[in-house]
Parts: sequence; C-alpha cells; structure tokens
Amino acid sequence: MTPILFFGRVGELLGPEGSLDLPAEGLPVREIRRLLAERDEVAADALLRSDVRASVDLVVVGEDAVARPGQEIAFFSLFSGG
Amino acid sequence: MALDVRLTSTTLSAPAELEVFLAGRTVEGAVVTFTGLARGAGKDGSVVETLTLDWYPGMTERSMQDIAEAAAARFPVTDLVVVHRCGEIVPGETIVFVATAAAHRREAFAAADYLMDRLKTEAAFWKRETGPSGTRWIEPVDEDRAALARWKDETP
Repeated sequence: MTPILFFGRVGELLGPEGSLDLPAEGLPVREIRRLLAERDEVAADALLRSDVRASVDLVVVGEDAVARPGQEIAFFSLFSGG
Repeated sequence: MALDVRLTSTTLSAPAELEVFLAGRTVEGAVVTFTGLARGAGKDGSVVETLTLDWYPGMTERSMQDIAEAAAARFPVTDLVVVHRCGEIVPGETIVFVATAAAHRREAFAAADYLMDRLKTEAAFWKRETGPSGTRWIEPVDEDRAALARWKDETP
C-alpha cells in the first residue's frame, strides 16, 4: 500500500495519512482522487473540491500527473499563507 | 549574499534574530526588519485563543526558500533572513521574522515588503484559529491578494 498524506482541511477530515494500493505503472492524480473519494461520504466531501490540490514528491501537480508506488503523494486544501 | 530561511516549532525571538543579523555588519547602510505577531482577535473581532499553522515538512520549507530566492534575485540586498513559526501559537507570540540588509534603505524596505506579501499568500501553510466558539480555517483575504498583485506590475 502506498501512503497518501493529507493536509489542511483534508487532513482535518481524513486524518494525516491514508493509503492506496497503486499499480506498479502508477495512476493519474485524477484517478487516485476518485478511488479515495469513493470510500465514503467524508472522503468525497474532503477530496472532490476544485480547491483541493495534489502534490507528488513535494511538487504541486495537475490531475493528469502520474504517481507511482514509492513516490510521496499528498492532497491538501488551499494554502493559507503564513 | 546569504539567505537564511528557517521553519521552527519553538519560540521565535525577534530581538535575538536581529542581534545575530546585525552582528559584525559594517558594509551595508540599511537593515529593515518585520515582525509578525499572533493576534488575539479574528477578522470579525472574535476571540482567538490559539493560532495553529499546519505545515507539510519539505514542501513548506521549499516554498519559503523559493520566496526568499525570488526576493534576493529581484532586489539588490546583500543578506536576508526569514524565520517562520509552525505548530500552535498563542496571541502575542512572534509568527514570522524577516530581515533584509542592503546598501540603502529603499531596497531593504522593498525586499522586506515583497517577502511578506508573498509569504502571507503563497507559503505552504494551513492556518486555523481556535477560540471559545470553535476552530476555523483561515485563507488569504482580498487585501493580501491585492498586496501581492502590486509586485506583478512594479519593478524594484
């Protein structure tokens, strides 16, 4: 299982970390988001929002970016700034 | 040019940071600092007991470093320091300390102003206020976005 990190409002709703069984060839962020969101209503509420972004290996990416096992994947709400 | 960018979960002392920044400095004629404090009231006047800054280890530091490097590239400053708190902060405590050194004051002021405008909107933090009525997430307000937009049109 590949750990998925959550921050901001997403982390508040889902906890700091979840996991997903990613195939070796990886999946697009869009698909990872969908698979996580279909688990329950809370996950759907947390993740299916246009202002929730994703990162792969600490770089904010778009929905088409592919993440593979071993990479650090995170979903988070908008940055508030400092 | 020295960039000193740090994230800390412990107390941040602006006087101590300034003392270190000033020590042995004989070339530049200007040092400007900004100290941001946690407020005891929200935008709507509600009581704030704690301010929590969530962060993403690695990403948050990188966002701060990127902003500092952009300031160093844009303004003729010789040194700058950015220290930011993370975790739980109570009203009156220092959240952020910025210092810039330059040959002349205008460049030092401009660089500090630019650093703060970008840190306030683009640094990778998630901020929430907790008070008697509960917890709420804080996002950049229009005023912050307008402040940031100034730098898109101006040259230093």
